[in-house]
Amino acid sequence: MKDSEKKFTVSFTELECKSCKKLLTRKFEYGDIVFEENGACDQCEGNLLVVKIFGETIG
Amino acid sequence: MGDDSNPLMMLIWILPIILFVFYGQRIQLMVSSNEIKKSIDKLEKFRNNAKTEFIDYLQKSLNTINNHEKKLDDFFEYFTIMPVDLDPNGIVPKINHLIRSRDDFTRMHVKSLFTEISEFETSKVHNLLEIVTTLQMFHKATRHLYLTAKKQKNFPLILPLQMMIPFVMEEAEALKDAMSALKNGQPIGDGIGPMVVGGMMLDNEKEKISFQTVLSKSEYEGRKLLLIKAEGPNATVGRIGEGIEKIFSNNKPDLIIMVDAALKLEGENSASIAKGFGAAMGGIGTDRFQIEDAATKNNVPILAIVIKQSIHDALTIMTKEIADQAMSVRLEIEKMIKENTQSKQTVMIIGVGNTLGVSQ
Repeated sequence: MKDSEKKFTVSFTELECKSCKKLLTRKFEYGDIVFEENGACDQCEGNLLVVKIFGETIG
Repeated sequence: MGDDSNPLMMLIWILPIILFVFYGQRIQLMVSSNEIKKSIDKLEKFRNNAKTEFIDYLQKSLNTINNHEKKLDDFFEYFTIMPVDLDPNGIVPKINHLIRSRDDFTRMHVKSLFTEISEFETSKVHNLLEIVTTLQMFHKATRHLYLTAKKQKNFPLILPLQMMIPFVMEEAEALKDAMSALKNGQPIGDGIGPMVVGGMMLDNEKEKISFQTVLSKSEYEGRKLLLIKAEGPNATVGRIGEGIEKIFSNNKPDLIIMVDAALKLEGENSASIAKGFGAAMGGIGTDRFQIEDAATKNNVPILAIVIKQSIHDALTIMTKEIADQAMSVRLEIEKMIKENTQSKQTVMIIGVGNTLGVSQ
């Protein structure tokens, strides 16, 4: 494989606080599911909802 | 000028002409077949790697039974014989029956490979199995055409293969790359339809209307909304056609809006949105037939919103560009509802696609 063909994808999860609507993006963790609650907001302690999971290709 | 009559120069010119007249096709066959052979070797590598990755995943992540490898090898060789179409009348229910029985059979046998397995994992294993089987089929079919052409020294036979192979390779690469998203339970590009409709279902009650398919009722500016999608986060497209037939028996909508991913044409931008008429739905066509049939009998118009993407984007983890379009698609749906229906009317919105990693 040529160096130019070496690509890899990094997966991210975007979460939104259901109370203050703050958006947070972090690396994807196994078990993350879109539209399921996952943790608490560090600002208002509201429930965080996974709103997007996406991949970004690097290389 | 003297060169024109030089016998050596004449020979240099004439020899290749004679060579190409008598052996031109064979030379072309050799050149083309070398390229094809490289692609077939690549397909074989894809298949072997996918098989190994799949078996590793089963052993490391799930509770497999002892002789699962032997059972899996049998599965990889399974084939489907489509119904006779000499008389096409009534063929759709036959295809539907065949596909459903194959799905039920595979699901049952996937479950039998494990001492314990959830519905979510079963759907993932089912999809991974489909990938390995498809790669195996691609490799076998292309190798058959290649070897037949070589055996018979038949150049015209290699031409269709030469034309087809870039498309086969594109799909094979997409399938190979889809393994990672499936193993991790991540949404794929094809899941944008269920993601948009799943977002509209949030905080509403859901009910199962057919196998792995959910319905949720909601309201928008005085219109009643019937939201339908495959049941997430399973790796499934659901049985939308069956579900819609059931809904039509009690509830006739005034408009159907279908949201799906669609293959982009070369030159089009990935994640661009397009609107149109008719049932936006891929697959073998039986579900689309059921939706079109119900809509035609009840005189209900069908509008479609598609999110364009390449086959690679559709089968691998959803790109940021596609995920970012979810809100724009929702706004388009709302615009369509306002422009095409009146207050108190009913609108059915169907999110079509594989809902892996997308709940509701």
